[in-house]
This record gives sequence, C-alpha cells and structure tokens, in this order.
Amino acid sequence: MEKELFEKIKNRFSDSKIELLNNTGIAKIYIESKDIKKILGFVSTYFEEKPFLETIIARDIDDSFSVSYIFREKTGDILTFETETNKKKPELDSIASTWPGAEVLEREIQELFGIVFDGKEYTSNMFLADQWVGKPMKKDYVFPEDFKGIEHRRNPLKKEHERP
Amino acid sequence: MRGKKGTWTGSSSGELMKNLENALPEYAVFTKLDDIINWSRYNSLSYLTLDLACCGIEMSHVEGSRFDIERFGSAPVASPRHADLMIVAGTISYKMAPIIKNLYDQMPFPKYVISMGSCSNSGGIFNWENSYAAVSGVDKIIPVDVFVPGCPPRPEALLHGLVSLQKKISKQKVLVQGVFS
Repeated sequence: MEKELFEKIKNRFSDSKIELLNNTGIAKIYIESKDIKKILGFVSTYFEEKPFLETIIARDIDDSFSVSYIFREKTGDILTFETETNKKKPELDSIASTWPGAEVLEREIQELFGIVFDGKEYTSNMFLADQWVGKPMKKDYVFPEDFKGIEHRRNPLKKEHERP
Repeated sequence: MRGKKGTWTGSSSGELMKNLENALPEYAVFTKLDDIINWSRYNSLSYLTLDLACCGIEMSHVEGSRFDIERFGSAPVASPRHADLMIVAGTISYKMAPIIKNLYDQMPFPKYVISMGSCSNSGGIFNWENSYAAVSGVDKIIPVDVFVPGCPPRPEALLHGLVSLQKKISKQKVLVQGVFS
C-alpha cells in the first residue's frame, strides 16, 4: 500500500525530493520539510476517509531534528512520513489546518525541542512548568540544579552516605 | 469507657485520682484537657483529596462501602478551607507544585499531610534520572506527617496511614505547645 501511495505522490509532485525508506522493516516515506503541507494535504484526500493522525515523533539527531508523522488508515495500515529540519533555525509547516488534533502535538514538540510550527511561537507553556528555561529533550540540554527552590534529587543513596 | 474498677482507662491515675474518682458519682470522668481535645480532633479529620494519578483510584475505594473511611470519622471535603488533612495521591509535576503549595497554605491550622504512593513519597519511577516533569517527592514542597508506601498502596494501607496519623495527633500537646497557632 505504501508503494502505491509512494508512486502516486512521486508522479504528482515530480519536482520535489521523495524517497521510500525501508531499512527498519517499517516502510516510511521521506519528504522535504518545505513540501509537508502540500504532500500531507494530498494524502488527506487520497483515501476514502481522511487517515487518523496517531502521533508526531521528534528526535534529536546530531545536527538536525527528525520529525515523523504517523497516520493510521481506515483498514488499519500505518503510514509514516519523515522529514528533517536543521538545528540552527528549526521551523516546519503546521498541519493543524487539516488535522486539528495536531496542534497539541506540535505545541508539545515546540516546548520540548524548540521546533517552531508555522512561525507561531507560543510564550506560555502547556506541558512544562511556567518559566522553565531551555528545551529539555535536546541532547545538549544542561539540567539545572533546582527549579524555583525545588531541588532535583540526584542519587539519594549517595547523599545519605555522605551525611556524618 | 470506664474500666472495671471505675478508673478512667485513657489516662494515668495516681492514688489521689483513684480516691477522687471513688468519691464522685459514676458519670464523672477524669481526663486531661489535651486528651479530650485531641480525641475530638482525630476522630473528625476532613481530608482534601488530591487525586493526581492512579493512586487516586485507590483513594476512592477507601470512601466506598467495603473499606469505608467514615468508620474512622474521616470524610472528603472539596475546599481546602474546610480541611484538616491533605492526602496527596499521585505524581506531582512541576506545573502542579505551586498549586499544591497554594492549597496547603489555604488550609487552617492545625493541618496534616499524608503522602500516598511511591511517586508522592520520592518521585517513584520518575526519579530515576533528572526529570523535567516530575517533582521528586511532595516533601520538597510541603511538610509531610505520614508516608504510605506502595505503587499504588492498597486501601488498607491508606487506612493504616490514617490510623497512624490519629495516633500521632493523640500524643500532641495542644494547650502547652500550641498546635493551633
């Protein structure tokens, strides 16, 4: 099914870079970050019913963020689309206009990774505590000693032994 | 509550007290004022529920007919201003921490806290490494009287925690040390 869809997409958007990756046993379609809205918009109308957006996964890989969109079709098949964005200025197009449920997922990714969707940067936090500094899921994140006077307990056993 | 020989079982009594008790009619009882105040206090603990995670389900069982926490004179209340006791059940996130502190501050003196379950005691499974979401124990924010271990604890365990707290309250000196202030 992925192959059919892949061929269809490739024929339709012949000028953009699309690949079918199958190195992990699960087929996923690689698309460029600038084509997200175009191609996923096409996918939403390709099937009889709009596929269900299961989740969006973001990963921190060396010098780029990899973002996967996982859909489930009415028959139960899983569709995966993968894209990348550079780490210096991480920006992606939002798909919330087609899948309204994506807004929460995108907002979570913005809080944890710092990827900005559609240029809308929210100032208030939805998942993290207010005034939390930094993006904690990034690999170069340095964990603070305490947050607003609440210290993070590290190695409680070691602390016990150090006590005279 | 009278013993066989007409002595008040709840308090220690010397020779003088015994003589006094025998001299007075049967309906007169001798006890310390502290004991009477504490007895009325620990048998009417209204608790504020903080169902933060799965421990909250176990806490709901305690209110049901099988375990029935009202046997011990406790009942849930919705407002912190009516509560003597706060039962913190579940994982505390950094977003929730200031709210719990605020609720605790709104409770009138004397106030007590039971921490229920591993997450509330020490952060539980979320305290393996640094966590950006979970606070490692509610005792980082507010003082705790009784810790109930378990993941989640059985309702019996929570009842045992409540009885332990009642024992603690029964030993407090209200008039001398001023628990109310």
